[in-house]
Amino acid sequence: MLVTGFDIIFFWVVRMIMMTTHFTGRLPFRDVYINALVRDEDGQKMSKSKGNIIDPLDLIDGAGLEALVAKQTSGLVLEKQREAIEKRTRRQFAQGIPAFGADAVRFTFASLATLGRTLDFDLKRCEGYRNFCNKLWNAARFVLMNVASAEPGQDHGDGAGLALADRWIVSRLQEAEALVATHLEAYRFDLAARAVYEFVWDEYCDWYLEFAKVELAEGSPEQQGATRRTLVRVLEVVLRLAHPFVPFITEELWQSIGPLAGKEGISISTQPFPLAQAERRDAAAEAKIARLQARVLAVRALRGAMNLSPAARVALWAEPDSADERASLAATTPYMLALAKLSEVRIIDTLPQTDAPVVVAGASKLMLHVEVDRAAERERLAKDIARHQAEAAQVRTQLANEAFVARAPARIVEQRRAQLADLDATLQKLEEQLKRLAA
Amino acid sequence: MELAKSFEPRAIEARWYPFWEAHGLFKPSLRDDVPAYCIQLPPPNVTGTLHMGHAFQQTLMDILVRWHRMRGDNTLWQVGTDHAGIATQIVVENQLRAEGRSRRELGRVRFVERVWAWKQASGSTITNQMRRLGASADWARERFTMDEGLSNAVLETFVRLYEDGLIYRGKRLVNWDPLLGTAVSDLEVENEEENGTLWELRYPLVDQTGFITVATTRPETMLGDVAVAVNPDDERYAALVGKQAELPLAGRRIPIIADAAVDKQFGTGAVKITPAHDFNDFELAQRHGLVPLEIFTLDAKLNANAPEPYRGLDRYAARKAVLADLRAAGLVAAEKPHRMVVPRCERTGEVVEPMLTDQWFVAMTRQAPANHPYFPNKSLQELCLAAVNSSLPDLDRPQGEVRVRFVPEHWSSTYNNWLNNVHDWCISRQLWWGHRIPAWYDEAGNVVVARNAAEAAARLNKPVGTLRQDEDVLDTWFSSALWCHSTLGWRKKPGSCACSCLHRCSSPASTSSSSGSCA
Repeated sequence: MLVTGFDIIFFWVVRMIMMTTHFTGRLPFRDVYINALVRDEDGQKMSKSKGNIIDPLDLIDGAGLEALVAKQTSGLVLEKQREAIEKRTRRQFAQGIPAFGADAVRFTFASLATLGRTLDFDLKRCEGYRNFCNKLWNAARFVLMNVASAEPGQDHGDGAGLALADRWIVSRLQEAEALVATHLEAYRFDLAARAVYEFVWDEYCDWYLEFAKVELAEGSPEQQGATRRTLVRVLEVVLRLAHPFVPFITEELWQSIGPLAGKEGISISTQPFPLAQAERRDAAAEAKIARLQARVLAVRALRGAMNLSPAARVALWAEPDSADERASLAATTPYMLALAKLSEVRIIDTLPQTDAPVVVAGASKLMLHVEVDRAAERERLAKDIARHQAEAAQVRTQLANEAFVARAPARIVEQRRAQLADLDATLQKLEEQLKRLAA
Repeated sequence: MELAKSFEPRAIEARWYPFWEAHGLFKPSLRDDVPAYCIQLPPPNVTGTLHMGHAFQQTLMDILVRWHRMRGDNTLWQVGTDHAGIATQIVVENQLRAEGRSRRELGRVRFVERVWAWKQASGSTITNQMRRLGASADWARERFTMDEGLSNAVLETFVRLYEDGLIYRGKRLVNWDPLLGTAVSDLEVENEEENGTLWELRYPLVDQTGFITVATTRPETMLGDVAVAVNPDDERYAALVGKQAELPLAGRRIPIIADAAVDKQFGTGAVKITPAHDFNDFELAQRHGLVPLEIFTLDAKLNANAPEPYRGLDRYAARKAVLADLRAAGLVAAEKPHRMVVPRCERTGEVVEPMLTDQWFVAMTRQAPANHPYFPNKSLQELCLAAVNSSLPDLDRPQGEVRVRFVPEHWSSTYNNWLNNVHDWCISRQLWWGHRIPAWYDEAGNVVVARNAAEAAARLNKPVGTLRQDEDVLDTWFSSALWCHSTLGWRKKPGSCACSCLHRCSSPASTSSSSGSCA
């Protein structure tokens, strides 16, 4: 196997095939993956004379602005380029380069590795993948805090005793494992990295950890045990799945998580790579959780539309259209309460006719029942309206100033106009709300 | 173990890489009951530093290697560094220049010592940077293209190819960098468009019936002209073909010939033919049986074949002198701005000069001997094309076939296009840093290729001291071309290396089933 740049196909690849085959009768390799050419974020080739080179070690360890300027301007062939390069460097790296760590840099490279001829390297991606590492780290801390003592329990291997959410995450894990294997076989590093990212961030952290909190708080002792086992086991597998991409953080975490999952060995790097097990897919659990997720997202959308404070606990009124849906609603109520910040889930036959917005999620109609202190709410809205009006007036004055419009960059003027339009739209909504309350 | 409150990559990285390496976790398992998997690192320049291209490429390699290792495969990432002939020699020459000294002043032996010292001092920079990235290579197997084993592989390869008639020495036109004083490969020449001038020069006809006006971007090389050529379909010149022109300044008579390679649209439609310093002219002259006349020394000054007043002038000074004298004689008909492709050495930026020099070549289209153990009568070109486009017999599976696959697939057409038009590979370089060519000459100029001086002396039946070894070294890519089999123990006894189990799947095997010993 060979991974190499297209610039040395003739220099090297052809000649290795020629020499090894001639002298040994065997091919030197079977697959030659030709990697993309790395360019800067604007699609320019990186070169000393353009001053757009990035030192990969600076991405790992970080670098101050002055050090970057010194590096970019040293050893230039043409002295006259110095000024432009210094200016560019000071503009582009005003804050220097933060230390992203090797794992975030590697994950960035993997995510950018499509099968294209070129790759435009954007520093912001490193930031995003450092956040990914933080997310993984915090998830592991959560697990360790909740599974402090070794409590591997019995693994029946068949999912018996597992709560719905546990069966769901185990099932989703099989999907992630299958995707990573498929994409790596096809040299789609970008898609393999995405599968790891989405499983860790979207499924394990955003959903499963929240479900687990509910189980740990309210489940039977048996369920709690099963959840703790699942938290640990799934995380342990994820660490192995992610290890080729982010070897350092996964090793550090595995040293703590591995033993809790009953794994032995001195290093994650020689542990078996996770293989998807078709028999652990659970279509029923996935379907049920998908319905639950749709309801949670619908409620979150309602809260947004109604401008509810994220801290406020409100009641959900739900009108299921079937017995099956009614049962599903009842079964997932504890999750709904926690994930959608609800005070109760009231299942009723027919939703009342009110002004409150209604959404349909799956087979249920949902609305939030909010007891409003009309006077307080009117006061709050009035304040909000006044604040927006003041802001709008300020922008309007600025735009009325001919000198400003004539002299300011077109981009800025455009921004101000858009800002004013937004303010006016918000004001209109707020005033409608106030009118409704007054009625 | 207590987990820190927040993710601090630096401390974690500093802890785990040394741990992995100290515990030998990146060594192949050498189990023969599991699939073997091997990735060959393109060996970077030994004195270089890691750039984004490396970091990207190595991340991908490491993902594959870690994945296969965890799958239980017998996995090896073979790493090492390249001596990078021209690049490294230039760096050390620049260091000397900064000290006010030169390579010639130091002499070959001490200069090469100095390069080794530089390699010792800076050679671990890039491999340590790879460690920082997390590259899970088996460093115990790290190689260097000039270490003893790989140097022996180079020697053996050269000798065998020579004995099989696939390496030869010959006087050929090559790209020459007059500053470095070496041949450089086509691939090391950058052809960029630049602003230049197209001059129209009048050559008087010998029969005194007028002139023929040639268009050229290189007026100074007219001193090496051996003909004027026109297109056979060009009616403007039909009557002149077969006549003779008087070459100004040189006082020689040259023929006017017709050749279809001449572009009627270029300049005046008539071109000067300077076979010793132009690739197209060289080919055209060969077709017409014209003998090249060299007019440059190896540092691009005019030699004794030029008329006396121009001798010793640098090529650019000669251009001025030639143009001044032609103008004075009223022989410059026109001078026009012209966009032209200028070939420059990518290492030095110097304009390369095609020069006729003695060089060593690997023959790409000659057949291997009939007794070749694997591919009798197949040329290297045919072998390379078959490896990608059809398939080759798999020595490890009866009736099996193997093929090299490019990912993405479209690169195979790039590969094929180049191979279908391939020239013989010029492998000699007039440098000091590299593998010295294993050829020796006696006083009569007889050449013998051998594994060492003693063997050469015995073959020539001369005392060792009387022989002179070829001064040239091999192209850097000659040793890296052997990288896959030479790093994995080519020619070692079976069982003494990892390769017998590592190879079967992804790399060449070290053992040849026919002979019982490697290759």
